[in-house]
Amino acid sequence: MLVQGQDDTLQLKEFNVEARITVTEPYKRLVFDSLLRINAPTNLAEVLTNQSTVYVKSYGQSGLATLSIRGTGASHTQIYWNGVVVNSPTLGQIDVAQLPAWLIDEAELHYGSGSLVDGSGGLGGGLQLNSLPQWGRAQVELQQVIGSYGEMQSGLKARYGTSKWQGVSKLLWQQQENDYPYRDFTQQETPTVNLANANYKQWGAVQEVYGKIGMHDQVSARLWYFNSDRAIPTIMTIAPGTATQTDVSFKSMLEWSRAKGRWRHQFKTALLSDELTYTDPDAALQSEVDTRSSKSQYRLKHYGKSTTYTAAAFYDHDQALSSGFDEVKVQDRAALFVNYEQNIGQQLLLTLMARQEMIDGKASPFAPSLGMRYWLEKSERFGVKINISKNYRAPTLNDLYWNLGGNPELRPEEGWSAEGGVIYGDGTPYSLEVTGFYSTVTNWIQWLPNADGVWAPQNLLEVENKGIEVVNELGFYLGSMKVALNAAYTYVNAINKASAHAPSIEGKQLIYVPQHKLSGNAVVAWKKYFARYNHQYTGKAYLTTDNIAYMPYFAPANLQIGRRIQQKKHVLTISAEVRNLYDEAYQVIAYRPMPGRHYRVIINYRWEP
Amino acid sequence: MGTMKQLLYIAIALVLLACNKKEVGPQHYLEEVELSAGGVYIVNEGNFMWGNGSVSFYQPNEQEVTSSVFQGVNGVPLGDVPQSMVKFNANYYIMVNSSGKIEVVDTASFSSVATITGLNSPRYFLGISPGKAYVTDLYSNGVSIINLTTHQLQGQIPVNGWTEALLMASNKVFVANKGADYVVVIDPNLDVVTDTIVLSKTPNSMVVDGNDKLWVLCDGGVSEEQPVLYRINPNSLVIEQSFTFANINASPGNLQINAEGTTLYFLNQDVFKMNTLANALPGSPFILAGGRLLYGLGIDPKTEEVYVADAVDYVQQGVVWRYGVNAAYVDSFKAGIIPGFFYFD
Repeated sequence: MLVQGQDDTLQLKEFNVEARITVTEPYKRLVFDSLLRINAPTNLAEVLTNQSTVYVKSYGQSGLATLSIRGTGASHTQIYWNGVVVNSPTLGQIDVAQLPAWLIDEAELHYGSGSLVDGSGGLGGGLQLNSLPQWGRAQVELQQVIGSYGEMQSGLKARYGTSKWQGVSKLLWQQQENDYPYRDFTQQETPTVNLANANYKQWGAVQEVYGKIGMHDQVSARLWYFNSDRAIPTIMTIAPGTATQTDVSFKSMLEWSRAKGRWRHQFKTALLSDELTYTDPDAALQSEVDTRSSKSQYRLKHYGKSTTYTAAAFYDHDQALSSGFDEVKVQDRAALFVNYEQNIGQQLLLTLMARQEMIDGKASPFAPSLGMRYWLEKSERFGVKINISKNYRAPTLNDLYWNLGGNPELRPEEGWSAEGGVIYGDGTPYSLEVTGFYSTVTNWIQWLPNADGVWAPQNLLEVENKGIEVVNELGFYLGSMKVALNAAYTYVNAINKASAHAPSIEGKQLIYVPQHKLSGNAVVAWKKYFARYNHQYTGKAYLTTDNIAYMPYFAPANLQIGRRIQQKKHVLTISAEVRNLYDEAYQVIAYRPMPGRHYRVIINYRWEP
Repeated sequence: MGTMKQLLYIAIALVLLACNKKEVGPQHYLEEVELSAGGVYIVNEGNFMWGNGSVSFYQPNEQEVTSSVFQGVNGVPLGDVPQSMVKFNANYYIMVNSSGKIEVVDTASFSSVATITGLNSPRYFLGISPGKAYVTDLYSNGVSIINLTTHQLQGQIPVNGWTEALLMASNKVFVANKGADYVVVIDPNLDVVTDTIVLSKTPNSMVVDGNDKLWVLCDGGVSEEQPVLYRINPNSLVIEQSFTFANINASPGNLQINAEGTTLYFLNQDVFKMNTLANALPGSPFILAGGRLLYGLGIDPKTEEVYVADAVDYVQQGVVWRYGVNAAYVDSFKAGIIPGFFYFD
């Protein structure tokens, strides 16, 4: 398992491994835990931009952000909150800038078909966002962030209880004027102007209660509320407008689990609600999307001497009312999942998993996966892993029912993927993970005008993605200074393999998929001081399917320097951060400027009685 | 330690990259712009909110095309969703719809003369007098009055909803009121609406024929009503004839006419051609779409050659097809993204 560099000023967390749904070793994953906190990220988009080679399509600081993993689209990454999918049933994707890091304890990224363990649809992967109990631990944490362009972020976290029960409360309030200056290269005099209509105000609360009953049972209740008000900026070549969007998100979950002997049971049921209101007075436009979902699942796991069996059943109900629908649209999904793991000797692990889903009574494609991990030596430091899987993504409610254009005849996008890699070491002092991947997706859904001139989705494209991911980590001491370095590189060749409508794009790279992405982090800790330097490079990405226009590379860096002051059980950490250290002018999305050099001060106080 | 060295090199490379003078924002290859008289300008809308609209120039004699003429000459992008362009006085006026502006460029060099800002969503331009023009608009609930001397928005003639095509006939200005199923009549001296002609759903394009009759094409909305082609007497404002399309799902548009004013052309998936004296809609297409999604249509007034545009997948250079008077293929070339409008110099 590779852990990204972290310094010793940050506490390690004791995770309740039993409660976690994770992929087994043949599948690649990436865990973000302390990194959710080190530089007080506003949202998950920031975390993933800085700490992974996932391509985050960001429409400006704190603007809409979606993920592209291994060359796939935004709706090919499924995002899970404590094991239930939270992608919008209408849009199929979720804005990761609307997922505040403060309210999440741990994030885990499952690449490619490793996400079959979570659910279907993760042709790119799955991102698990988890909150977990820390038994017997009481803690109060307060955090205040003050940054450029009116950024304010205040957070409170409290853990309390006994070894039998624990309560967790979190509060977050954040806002920013977000009126950062940028050079407007679309005007002849290239004036410096301030981004307009990009401010936001958000607040959220989480309440969780965990309890142990007797020797074997554990119950929990989780509530999540997040309210976001933000202005939606236009692009550089359009005069600022007054469009705004409000998102209100409520999630709740009840969970029971039992660990007795070799058996584990887990049952959870969740109710989710999301309300989105978009208003653009200039276009006399107001659109609303209200979705309600209930999601339940039961997992049974048996640990044998050398085998582990898992069986799971899922039932999801989604309903949505949208300005784009003529009535409430409903979708029901039922799924069965099995996983079998066989250890042969100490070195070989074989896994087999399969998922079969029914959507509105219609069988989805069967999705099996076969994986193998082999340690080349008994010390478990050097291993190889391979897996092959089938996965699919069902059309969204918008794809099926949008009025006009929705196409109820759409078939799911189907993909085959294979992954193979080498893992070496555990980061002390060095570790390396090299993974190659290959996947094809057929029936890729594309919206185009139909014969009557109405934009409608069709199963049009065949896409082939292949590439390589390299993660290096190095940790060592220089005298009393602790140093952790990591560098990750991703190469993605994602091409249109066949297009029924536009054969001229065959063999061309998909738009907004950079071939190269590089990310490097250096963390040093010395006595009470720590510093972190982060630098990323994102190569050019094409803007047109015929690859004639492109976004150039960008390579912003961040530097954070801090000091920890500890007095008995009180820990105060004060740090200052310079973002976009070299004041690079860049855009991720065309004509959506990113901020130049800017600053933040982070004050974190923790009390652990 | 080999790895340390490697990491150091990577760090140095990254710092060098970051300090390097670099490209910012969307990039594409820009050609040397050479304009000549008698060419065809293609207005390419680009994608909404992608800022990739452009104007291409095609010289029919040499069969040569130049992309991104505005950016090539002026060094800055044209803007978001240019809709139409027209020559008036000694300038071209380019309506840049989503950018809410009109770019005014010199006809000889295409270099920027002025930018008229403050419009909501300009669509089409009609020069009224050397100092005054009307511009229709998607959202502003009115026809904008532009002062061509000061290059400023001077006022507005209130009209409810989306206003689209406009033209002058019998000393009146006729405006297709796409949002309200009317053709609105404006007195160009007083800048007031004087009459309203009630038609069927969504009038989208208009022409005047050689007999000074006004032709209006209504597409019927999205499968709401049957599309209708009207012939109207611009003096009496009486509907003289109406041709109803049988298929309610059809969405005809882009009504054009040849220079003599004797032959109508329009798009209805395929290209259709109709004599102004015909007493029925044409039964068979003039040029078949043949799997293409035909988006724009233009008729060269000098040769009556037909230009149609195919936006392909809407995220790449569109293709323009040029046909002779007998519908025979002459040439095809790549324009910009989503070519939608032709201006024949």
